[in-house]
Order: sequence, then structure tokens, then C-alpha cells
Amino acid sequence: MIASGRIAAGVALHPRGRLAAAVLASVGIAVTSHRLALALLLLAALGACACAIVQGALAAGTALGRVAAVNGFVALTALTLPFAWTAAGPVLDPSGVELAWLVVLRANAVVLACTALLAGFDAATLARAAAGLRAPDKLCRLLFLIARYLDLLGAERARIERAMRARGFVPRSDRRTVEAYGKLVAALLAGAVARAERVERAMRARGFGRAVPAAPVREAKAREWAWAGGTACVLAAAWAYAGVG
Amino acid sequence: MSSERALSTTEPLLRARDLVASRGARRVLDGAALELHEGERLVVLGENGAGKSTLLMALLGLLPGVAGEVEIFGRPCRTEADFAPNRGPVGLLFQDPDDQLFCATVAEDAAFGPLNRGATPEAAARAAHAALGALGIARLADRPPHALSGGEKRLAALAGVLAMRPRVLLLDEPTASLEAGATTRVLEALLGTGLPLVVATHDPACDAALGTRRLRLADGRCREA
Repeated sequence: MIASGRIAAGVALHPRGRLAAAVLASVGIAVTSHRLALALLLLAALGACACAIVQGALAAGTALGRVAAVNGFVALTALTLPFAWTAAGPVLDPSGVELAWLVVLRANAVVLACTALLAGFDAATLARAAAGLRAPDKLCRLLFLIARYLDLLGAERARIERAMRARGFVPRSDRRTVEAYGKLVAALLAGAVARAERVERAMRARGFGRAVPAAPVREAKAREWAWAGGTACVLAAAWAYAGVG
Repeated sequence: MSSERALSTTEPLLRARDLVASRGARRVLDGAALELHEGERLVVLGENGAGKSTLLMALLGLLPGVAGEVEIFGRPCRTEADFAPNRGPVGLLFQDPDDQLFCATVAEDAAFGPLNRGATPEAAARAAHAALGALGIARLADRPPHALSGGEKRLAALAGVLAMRPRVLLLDEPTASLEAGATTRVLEALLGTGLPLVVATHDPACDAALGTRRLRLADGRCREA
């Protein structure tokens, strides 16, 4: 089971097994449309997160931050979906309410499950795990480079912003500030394209081929599959309980 | 405004004492101190990574977590509110012009500082064009910064600083990675401003052309060189 308290042990697992479990859980939750089954999956995911936090594999702040970020969007859907717009104005529609429930449960279950299963992953680990699962090469490269670029872009943004402050820029809630940040983003994007080409050339000059460097092979293969299998068991149990195929 | 305050002839324009700054586990500045007086062009020498950039940014309060005392135009600066009005009167040219040039055209970028200081768009545009003209790069006004050569970028970034009519310039490796012709143009432009300067550099040509006094930054401290 994902909530079986093996999250901390999971950190030592090959990332491939954890990514497989996360994908399986996400797809499983996405295709479940029975409210009770979803509620059970949500509870299981919540339990997995709690285990990960208790065992120190996941920071509570990180988990809360992710849940809050997703629920910002979910709240918008949940508040608008239940209403049907008629000539007489908005009318509460039972099928809309049902849909809103599904959205809330699914989104939160997926976020919690992925947060628990991928606790401690960085972009490079994710890329290696994806390569281990034989994901398309382009996707793996993209994930692998994200690690580099996020860092570079973050540093570049900080440098440009410091230079802006050196010329007296103070962010305010006015149009000029929005314009200035718009230009900052445009400069970052333009710079990122040029930098991507330079970085690519520099990486190729040091023998970077098309493939993401493979993850070191580990021997504990059975445990990985047990882990992914555990996730599948939780899904199957939830479906069976709710009587949904 | 603090920057407009009259100074006695002996009072330094800039004074820093006991500056302490860390990058990761390493102390980049460890008790660094300097003074800049009217009419001086102070060269700060030091190896790569000696902390020259950190020192310049600390003088304008641009780095978090720096301890020590900074006085600008005779006024102690401790908080962001103390430093903010001095950003402009003390102009900082960054080592990498790409950090500084972020607008769609050179003229727009040069107008950025004056607008921050409350100038009207017309006045900011005038200040920008005057600065570009003074540096002999008025022809670049409508060009996008990313399409400029290294030397042109450096001059465009300098125009953005000069458009704010600074009283003091802080220059971070102003001639780094420039060929001889561009180096000469940048050095002539800097001398042409007639402003007191603090120049962080390890370029002997830059040091020889600009310096009236020298400090060496090593082990986090400044010593007369």
C-alpha cells in the first residue's frame, strides 16, 4: 500500500519504481468517477503524505504549499461548476454539484499521491526515472535540462532585478511595475533561448549525446515492483469497495 | 534628500567599514573598508572571486545579509529605505551588461532609471538621449540591446547609469571581455564623465587609465596597493 509507511525506505528505492507508482496512482484516480472510491483514495494518499512527513522524507510546508496551489485553481472550478446559467440567473444544478465534487476529490488525491510518492525528487531524478521507464527521449531531455535551466533562470532573474533596483526601481502596485516585470520576463525568455543554444553547444562539446545519462542500476528490483504493486492494490481495493470497475 | 546634502571638503562621498559578507560557507568580505573622496578614482584590485562585485553591491545595499557600516554622502545607510534614494546619485555599472539591459530598445532602457526617480516620460526620454549622445552612441537608440556588440552593450548600460545624473560611479569590471578598441572607448567615456569612481577590475589597462588611488581586496579585506 502507498500508505504502508515505506515512504522513507522508498527514498532508497530506484526512482523508477516510485515514478511508476505515481503515474499508476494518477491515472487510476483520474479514471475513477465514484465519489466513495475517490474519497478512499484521497484518504490513502493523505495517509501516505502523513507517513512521509512523519518519517522526515517530506517537509510539511512543501506538501501544504502544493495542496494550496492546486486548490486555488480547484476552488474556482468548485465555485462555478455547480451552477447552470439560465435566463433567470444562476441555478444550482445537481449534476454540476456532482462534477464539482469529483474535481475536488480527484485533484487533491492526485496531488497528495504524487507529493508522497515523489517526495524529495528533483528534476534530474525525475528525468532519470522517466528514462528508466523508457519514456520518450525528448521528454527525458526536457526534464533533465529543466534542472539546469530553472537554476540559471532563477539566478538571471535575481541579477536583472538587482540591476533594476540599482537604478532606483521599487515595485509598486501600478502599471509601470507591471510593464517593468513584463519586460523582465521578455528579457528572460529572449535570454533563455540564446542561452539554451549556447548551453547545448557547450554540453555537446563535452560529449553530451541525445540520451539522458542513465541512472545507476540497482539490485533491489523486486522491492520497486512491490511498491508499484502496492499502489495498484490500493487502487483495486478502492474500486472493489465502491463496486466500480 | 540625503543625496543633495552639502558635504564638507574632508567628508568622504562613500565610506564603508567592517563589511562582512558570505557566499555559501565562504566569507567573501571579512572586515572590508574603503573611502572615496571628491575627485578620486579608486581602483579596487583583486583576483577573480575576491569579492569585488560583492563589495560594490554592498555599497548600494543590494545584497541581503551583509553586515557592517555604509555611509553615502555623509549619511549612514542601514535599511532599504536609507539606500533607495542613493540608487541613481550613486550609479552602479554591472559586470555583465546583459543583467542590466532588459528593455526592448536601448533608449527605453536608458530611460528606465530616470522614470524610477519620478521623471515624466518626456524628461526621461530626454535624459536617455542626452546620455546616449554624450557617449557617442545616439545611433543605437532604437536598437534592441541583445543585437549589440560587447562594447556597444557596455556603453548602452553605462548610458542607463549616466541618464540618472550620478555624482559617483561604481564600476564592476567595466572593460572585461572587450577588445582593445572597445576598451579605449569605454575608458575615454568614463574619464569624460569627470565623476569620482570606484572601479573593481583586474585589467591593467583599466587600472592605468583610471586609477588615482588603489586598494587590493584579498582575504575579504582592502589594503592600500
